[in-house]
Amino acid sequence: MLFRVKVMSSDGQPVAVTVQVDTHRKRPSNAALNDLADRLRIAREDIDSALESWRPEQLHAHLASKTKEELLSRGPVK
Amino acid sequence: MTLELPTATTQDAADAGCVFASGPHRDYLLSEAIAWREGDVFVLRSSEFDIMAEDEDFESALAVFIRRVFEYASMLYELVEAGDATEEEAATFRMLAERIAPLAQAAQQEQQDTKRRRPKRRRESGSGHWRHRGTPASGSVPLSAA
Repeated sequence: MLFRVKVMSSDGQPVAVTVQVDTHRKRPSNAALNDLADRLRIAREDIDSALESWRPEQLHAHLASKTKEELLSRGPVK
Repeated sequence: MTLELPTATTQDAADAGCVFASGPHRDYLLSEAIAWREGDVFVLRSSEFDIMAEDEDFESALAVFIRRVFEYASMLYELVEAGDATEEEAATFRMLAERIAPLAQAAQQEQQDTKRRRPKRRRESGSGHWRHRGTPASGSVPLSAA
């Protein structure tokens, strides 16, 4: 399933981030979690806690604090 | 045909390649991608847009990836139609539409050709067809009326 979050980046550009939730496997693999972390611009080591505790508004605010270039990057957050 | 499996075992060292969808007569490029094996799963990640797939079986991962590309293209189409797509999404949609349209046309053509060929093949066929006596040659009839 695809989920899309559209935000106004910190440099004032509309940017959409699309993530997918894998429903064909019982447990997501590390690769899937890493991919999710990269797309949501969250450090890979923090993705578990973000998924457990973040509210939608928190995710929206987090993404809106990034520049367009950061949001479109697909590499891991350093 | 044997499927060539990715040999890389980390994302950093992933194999670069392309994912093609099989058409009736040739393959069609869907996405440039990277692939690697992580633990017990094969991972495919588009290097052009936000799609990835994983599975213990590489062929299944490919099938999931291709299905997701179509889902993604469909989502982008709706966003473009609604005027809600971002600049990047609209550009990705144009790119995907250029790749998918010839595949869809070829598949549709193949379907039409198959339909046209089918009655001919049936007439030429040496194998017989059994029909219950009293049942019309075509069309469905309730059991009580047969």
